[in-house]
Amino acid sequence: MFKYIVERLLLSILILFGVSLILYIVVWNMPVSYLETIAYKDPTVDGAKRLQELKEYYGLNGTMLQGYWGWLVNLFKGDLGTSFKYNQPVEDVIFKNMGVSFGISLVATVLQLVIAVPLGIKCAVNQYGKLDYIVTFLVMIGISFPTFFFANILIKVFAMDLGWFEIGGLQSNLPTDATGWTRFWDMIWHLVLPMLTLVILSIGSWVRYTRTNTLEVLNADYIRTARAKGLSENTVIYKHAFRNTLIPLVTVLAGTLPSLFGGAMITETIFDIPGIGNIAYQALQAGDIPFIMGYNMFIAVLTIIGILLTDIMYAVVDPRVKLGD
Amino acid sequence: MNKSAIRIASLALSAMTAFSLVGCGGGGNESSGAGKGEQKYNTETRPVVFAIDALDGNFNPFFATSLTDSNVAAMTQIGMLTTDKDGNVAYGKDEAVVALDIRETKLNADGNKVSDEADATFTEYEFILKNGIKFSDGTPLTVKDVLFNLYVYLDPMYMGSATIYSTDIVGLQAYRMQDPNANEDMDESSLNADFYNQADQRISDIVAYLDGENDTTPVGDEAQIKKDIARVKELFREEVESDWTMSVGSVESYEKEYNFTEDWQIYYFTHNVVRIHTVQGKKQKFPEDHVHAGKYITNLDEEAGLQENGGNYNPDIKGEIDDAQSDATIAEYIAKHDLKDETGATKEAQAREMIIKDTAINTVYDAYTGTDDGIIEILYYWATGSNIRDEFAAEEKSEYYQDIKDRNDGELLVKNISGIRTYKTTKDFGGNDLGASHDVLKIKINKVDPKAIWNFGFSVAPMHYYASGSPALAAAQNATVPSSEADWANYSTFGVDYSNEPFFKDILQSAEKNGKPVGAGVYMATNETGSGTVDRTNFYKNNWVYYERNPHFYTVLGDGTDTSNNAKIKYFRYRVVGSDKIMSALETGIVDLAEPNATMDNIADLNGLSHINHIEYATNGYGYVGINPKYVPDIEVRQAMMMAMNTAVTIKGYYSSELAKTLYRSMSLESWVYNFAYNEGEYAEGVTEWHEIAYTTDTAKIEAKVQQAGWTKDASTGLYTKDGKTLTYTFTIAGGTTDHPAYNMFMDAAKTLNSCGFDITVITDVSALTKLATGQLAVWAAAWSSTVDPDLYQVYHKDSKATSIKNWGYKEIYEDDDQFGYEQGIIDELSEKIEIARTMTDKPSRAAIYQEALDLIMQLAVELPTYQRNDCTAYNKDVIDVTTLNSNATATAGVTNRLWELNYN
Repeated sequence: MFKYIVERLLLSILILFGVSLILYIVVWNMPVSYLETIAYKDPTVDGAKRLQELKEYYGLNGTMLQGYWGWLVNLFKGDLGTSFKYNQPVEDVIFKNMGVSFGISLVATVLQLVIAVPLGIKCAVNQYGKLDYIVTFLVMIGISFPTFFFANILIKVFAMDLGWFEIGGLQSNLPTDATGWTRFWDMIWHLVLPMLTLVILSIGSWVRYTRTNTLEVLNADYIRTARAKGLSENTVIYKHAFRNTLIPLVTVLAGTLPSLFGGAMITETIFDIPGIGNIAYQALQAGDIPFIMGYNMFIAVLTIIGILLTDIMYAVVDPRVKLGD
Repeated sequence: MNKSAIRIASLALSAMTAFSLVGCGGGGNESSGAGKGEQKYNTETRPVVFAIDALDGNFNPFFATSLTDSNVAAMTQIGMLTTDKDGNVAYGKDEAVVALDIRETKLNADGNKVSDEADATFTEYEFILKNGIKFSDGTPLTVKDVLFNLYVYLDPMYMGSATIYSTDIVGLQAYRMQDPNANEDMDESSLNADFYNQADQRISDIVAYLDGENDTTPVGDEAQIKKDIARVKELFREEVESDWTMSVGSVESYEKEYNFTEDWQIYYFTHNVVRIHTVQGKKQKFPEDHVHAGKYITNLDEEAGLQENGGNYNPDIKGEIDDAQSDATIAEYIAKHDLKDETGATKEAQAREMIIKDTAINTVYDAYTGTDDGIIEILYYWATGSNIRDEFAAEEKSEYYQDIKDRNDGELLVKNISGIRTYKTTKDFGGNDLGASHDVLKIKINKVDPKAIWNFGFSVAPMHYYASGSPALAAAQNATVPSSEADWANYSTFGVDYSNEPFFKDILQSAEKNGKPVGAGVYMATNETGSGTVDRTNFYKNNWVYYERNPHFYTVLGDGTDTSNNAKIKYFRYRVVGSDKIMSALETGIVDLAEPNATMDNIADLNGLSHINHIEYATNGYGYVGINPKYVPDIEVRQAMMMAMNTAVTIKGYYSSELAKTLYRSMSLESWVYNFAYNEGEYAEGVTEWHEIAYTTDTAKIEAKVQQAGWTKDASTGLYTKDGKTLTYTFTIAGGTTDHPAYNMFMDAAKTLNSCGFDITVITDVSALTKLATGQLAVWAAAWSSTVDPDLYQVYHKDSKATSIKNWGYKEIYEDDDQFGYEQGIIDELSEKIEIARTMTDKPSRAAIYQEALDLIMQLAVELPTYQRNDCTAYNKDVIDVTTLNSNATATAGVTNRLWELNYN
């Protein structure tokens, strides 16, 4: 397995190199250019001259390949560059804003699992029953809603009309002497609607996935054997079936790594949450080359690790799978 | 749902209720009545909240790029100047600015004051600085801080948004390029031109030195001049020697033509020492000694010939050459040049040749170099003159680069900007006693630029904070700002490391400085608890920006002693609210003040909110449609397009007649020019649409215009064609959505034009402004944000270097005389008027010139002004005491322009 992991990691470097090149080509050719926006901001000065000065200053006065090479060389020196828009080292911006995104995503993912897995199993057990139909109907609605639409409905109903929550943000206008406890709960209070959005919109796929897996397991020979042994239905389902249902779930879970750290771009933007998704969205709109490169490479690394973890987890939870032998 | 599910749901619901209670309790802070009895809200504990759009977190006053980041930084800063409600420069005791008094003086080339602006070579701005101002950390704000800020903004390495460097300050280019002769239009070729200027100066110095008639003529370094003269002689000898060689090579051809038989004859002939004499109009084919043969000269100007040859003829050239070939001299030459063959026989003939050569050359050489006039003549008329010029220029160039090289080793060639100086005064510019000595900043600019003053309102950030970490800081702190010009000559300690990348990237823009601004503004950075360390991580956190009253702010107002001039409300916060949620934020009361777009829908919503009031004021800018002649060369076609555009639609459909106004010339309605020119001048009855482009629904009129330009309709396609082209154009809306005031107008116009034989498409483009800046759009809708001064130079003058003239295709217009002769005439006239207006400060006369200029712009048919909208500030009237806001806000003096006076109910 160790050999397998090393091989995969080496391959990952090659993949990341390819990813970075493709990304740079895409980013370089974006219709928005931060430097142009800045240079041409004041139409009463010589913008072309300013643009040239800016390009020289940021080392982007050469061809695309020269720009890419410069970026790559700096990367090997451990320097992701300085974000044009945020005027801070890219890694600083990423790590500074990652925490809140991670917090929201982690809680949302846990909630999704806590709610979806039991529901999925229940639906499978009661296949084509009343609960199955109701849950399927509801989760299909959840899956179908676009994020921005559902989030705005939540804001309209719970913040504007009922006044239970603020319309967005992470914090109220707390007095300077507010206690740490008050501040903590205030933040949790602000996160209810964004988390609800994330949970409701994503729960459907987990429910459907759990249901399908459980149904598959329930049709397996060893379940029939367990039932034949005269075990109670609960023991059959929660002891024998449940564990096996988890195998594919665990592997999929490892794949959610990028989304945990990468932020929820739309949700964060709608709720004015200064998470990494929101920050990246704004940088993208502004054509901030260093940040877009840094952020996307960060996501790419997470994705590769996620895929690797998926494979490893598969081997860990399923004794039948052996890697690299 | 089973029991456990119900339990979870009810638990979640009760948790939500608990959170919402926390939230409701959060923003309250109503005063208990103690201490501030009559106030509903406690100014010492309840933070006031203003909404702000997304932030980038770059709050460095020098480098903040977005408007919102700049606003966050500005809260902590004060500027040199501010503006009043009419857009005039404001300063003095009652304003929160550094300048106590200012003066603008026009100077002639000698530095003397002139009354007529047309005679002004320079304009000098003087700013008396207030004494006793302190930054929020208690450090005094001094002239060193002011100089530091200026030198940051003017450094070649400065890449922020401020464009002070675009002002033509005397000595600025010299400083930025480290070239003493640099000027505003400097580039590689002009740099070389300057080396030649320096070479010419050296030649002039030589001439002045040799020209004994005018003893008062200042000459440069005498040793240098003597060295240069010696070099001129050297080069001259090289030239006459080379001429001799040429003559020798030319013997055959000269002999054939003139029967010259000897080298020296040809040589002298080519140097006008001997001439071909003519008798009775016939050319005699032999040379004559010029002086001896004087009687033969009939049609040659002897005087000119004498003058040309330095007037120093040898009376007997042939005789002299014969005499030179004496036995002694021949022997000397043989010995000197070892003129012997293998057998030891002497080469007498060769010696004679050499003697003839040297004698001939010396004759000419001595004739010229022997006198001052001769040398001057060499400089002016001989090849040596231009050779020495090249040589001097090359020397200057090499010296220039050597100097730059030296500078890179730590020495600046141009130490400072010669147009920026300081001095001290005890009197204001009205002659009143100030009671103490004040520093005065003096900035001299070339010519007259009415806009320059607006560049000098820069904010004054603390040197001790922004330069900290650099050795330049200590040097500047220890230095004494010079008081005499002689001291200034070598002064360069401004706290800025000249053109030093690490200084500008790592010191000035360190993460901490970018994240936490410091200055002398109304408020200073704090954190959510108002105590402990304040740094970039807690000043702007979770979409909140935290400020606390600056305890030293009062030092900038009045006589600097009244602490009640500090901000009334202790805590100030910006809350980031997306622009689409501004209205919701106001409605739900999570912000106390916000600036929503003044659209019809928003204003209607605001009017429906009982706790919200709003103040509207015209924005200082206007919407327009531009048409680039580069793509639409026929003026009639441009006019036809404009005729199809109903500017009233932009207002009706998007704003309303209360929220926006139509305008008919390319100038903000807020500008005094518009008021003077069109309300008091010729257009006293009110300006109307320009007659040539008046909106019409009559397609026949539009088609008639197009046909005037020679377009004919293709019966098969229904499209107008000319030279195989059709009228296919794209109308571009600057922005990502069709939610734009001009969209409906464009759609209507496209419909009308397409029915006439055009082929128009309307699109939106997020990159429109970039494309515009590079002249890539044919027809577009965008908006100008106007400056306070109405100067049109950058946007319309033919010599402007600004990005904006690419919009009007000036380059193409001046490249094609046949197509654009008419346009060229208009632009020439327009440019002339702009230049005249620039030199004037008398408002009515200036406005009259602008009125003509604006009419010319309409005549050019490149810009159709469409509307001028309002801005809006809305606030929670339950919370904010309306009397502490500026209800008469204008574009130049906003609702909270005296923020320190803002108070609660």
